[in-house]
Amino acid sequence: MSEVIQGAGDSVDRREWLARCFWSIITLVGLGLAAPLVGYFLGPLLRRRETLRVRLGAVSDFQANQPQKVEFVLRQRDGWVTEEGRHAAWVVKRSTDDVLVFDPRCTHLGCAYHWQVKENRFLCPCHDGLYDIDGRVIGGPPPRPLDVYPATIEGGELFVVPLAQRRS
Amino acid sequence: MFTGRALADWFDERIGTRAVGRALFARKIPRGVGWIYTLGSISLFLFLVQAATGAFLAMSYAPTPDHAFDSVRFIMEQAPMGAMVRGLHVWGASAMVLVVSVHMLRTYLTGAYKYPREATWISGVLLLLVVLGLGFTGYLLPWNEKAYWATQVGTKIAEQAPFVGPAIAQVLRGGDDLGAQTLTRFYAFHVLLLPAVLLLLVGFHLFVVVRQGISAPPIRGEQLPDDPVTARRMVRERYQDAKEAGDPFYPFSLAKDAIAILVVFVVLLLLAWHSPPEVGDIADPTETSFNPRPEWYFLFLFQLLKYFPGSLESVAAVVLPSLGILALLALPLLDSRLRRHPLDRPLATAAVVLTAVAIVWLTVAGARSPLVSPYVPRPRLVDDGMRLARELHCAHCHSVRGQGGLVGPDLALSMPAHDGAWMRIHFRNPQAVVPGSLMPPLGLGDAEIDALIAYVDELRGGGPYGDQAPRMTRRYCSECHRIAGRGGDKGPDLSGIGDARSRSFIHRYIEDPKSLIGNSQMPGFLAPDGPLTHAQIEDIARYLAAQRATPSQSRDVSEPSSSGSGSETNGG
Repeated sequence: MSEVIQGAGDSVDRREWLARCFWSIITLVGLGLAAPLVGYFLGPLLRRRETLRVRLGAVSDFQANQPQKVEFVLRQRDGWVTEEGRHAAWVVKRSTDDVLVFDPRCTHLGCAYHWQVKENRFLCPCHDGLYDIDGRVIGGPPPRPLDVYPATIEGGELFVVPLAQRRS
Repeated sequence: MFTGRALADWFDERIGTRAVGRALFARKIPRGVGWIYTLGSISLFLFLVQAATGAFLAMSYAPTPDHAFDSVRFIMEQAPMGAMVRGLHVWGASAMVLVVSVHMLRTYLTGAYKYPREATWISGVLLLLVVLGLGFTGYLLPWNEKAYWATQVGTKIAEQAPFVGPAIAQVLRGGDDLGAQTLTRFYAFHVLLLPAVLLLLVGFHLFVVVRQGISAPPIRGEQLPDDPVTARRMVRERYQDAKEAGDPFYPFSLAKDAIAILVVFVVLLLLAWHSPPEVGDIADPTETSFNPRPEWYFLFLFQLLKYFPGSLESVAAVVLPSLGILALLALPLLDSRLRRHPLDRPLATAAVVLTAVAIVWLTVAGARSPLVSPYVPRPRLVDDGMRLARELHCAHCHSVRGQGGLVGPDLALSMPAHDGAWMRIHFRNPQAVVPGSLMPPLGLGDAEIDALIAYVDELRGGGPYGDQAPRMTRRYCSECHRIAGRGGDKGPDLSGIGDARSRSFIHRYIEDPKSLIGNSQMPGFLAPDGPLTHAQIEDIARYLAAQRATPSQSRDVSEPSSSGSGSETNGG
């Protein structure tokens, strides 16, 4: 190294060369250190979400066209902690093989809505968002119909993956 | 480049950036300052690496005994680049101790602590202590066996200090014993207090380094007048001359520093990549077979203790280190002569060379000293299963070898005919395979079910073994060992060995007995030195691990596992 430096001509050249050497190495080391840190920091963007299937009950337990709130316990991994969290969903049985399961949060600002039996509609108490039995917006500020959980019926049992999906 | 210039002017007018920049970077460095003088810059760089990686690690670390270990495991196994970040941090810590120590050694040998740099030296000694403190508080944080036991020993050492020892240990631990409060205390020290102190000291250290200038290389046989005042003036003048003849700090010294830093960084990256730091086994205060070992940089103290028996132990543990630290701090005051070349101060040089040799020797001896406990880490999945079983309170209904509830069957004895597939369905929905079972569905995830299966497998002997296992065991073991009444008496009776040893222990023991019990008379059985393959040993180990002395266990030596006891009807 020192031979190269001494052979590089007069001291202005040497100075210039060393300065460039310094800045390129510092940049290199800085990037080398930043790369793993940035990757680590942005990790949550890369992680896949766990899809857990939950059994909500037998389809025959639900009454047709009467929305019913179902609570269930989900064992979920959150980083290094496995926790049992209580969750809820609204189940609307249209027929024995057509069941809708709604995410329990209003699509406006995420408040919890409920079913009004007399008025035959879902009401969100925060800003008076209204949905019909199929989750379509019939009044108030909600921007889109209620989100659903993908549901499947196997052997008369209702299973959902409790991840909210927008309806097209 | 009008805007750039204008911006620079704006700042210069308000902050004086150019004057500060000149003072820091245009200052001249005496000629002859070689590569060994880059150690200070490397230390600073390593501090930045530790601060950066540490800040990010803290995002996924939970300083509580019930989560610390799992969060470190999450960093190592799940967080993207997590192993790399922690690898840099752990190896960076070792590099820091090493570089800082050699930096100090160089300063000592070149007499650079002498007038007018005494304050630089004293702040440097304090920095070394803070670095060691960071190391000590840092390795408790993963809350694994090594962390737990090394800290146990460390705080017990503090306890041996005269008069105030017990109080110091009590305060360090935040209580009578290592626990939640120790962890949070150490965490606060490691990430808040000590780094803050370090930052202040680094700031001061750098200030005096710039203020007094980097010491010129010492001159052999330097002539100085006897009168201290004149001598000091001469030292100052000579330094000014040496400095004037040198090159500016930027870029001449800094380019050298950058190259050295690059080398160190590449080494760190390679180490972090090739040897990621281990997660270890979770701290277990009831474990009796672990071999506590401190980090390598405390090994010399660990080894030193062995030479000071009984009542003299506190001499090695507390008195000697304290005297050493005091001597280092007071060094510039004790030795106020101005000659700096190491050969001009033979006594001082000999003393430090001897100390360095002693520390290296003690470190090597400590590293080589045999591990006395036969410790085999449990397989990770089995460990997970055991912790999960505890968390789910399985013992409220199930026993393990007679200990626990009586509602369900004994986990170590029941279900011998049920394989992984059966258990998988069972854990998901007990009623599906055992109609009328009282066991509730647990809603477990796939990974959790795998862990429970591994745990139950380990409990009942480490999984199914082949038909040949009993015959092989008779052939190779019964010359020396008795099993269910038959066999030789050279070695211990193995009839109930499964109650005392796990499958993994037995496996490793058959392969290489001396690795676990140093004075074992048994030969190793693994090919090519022995007659058995790895797979055969595994088979025998599973079979032996299934040998239980518990009365309800009626498995005969000559029977393969598939026809074992028939308690499966109430399994679940």
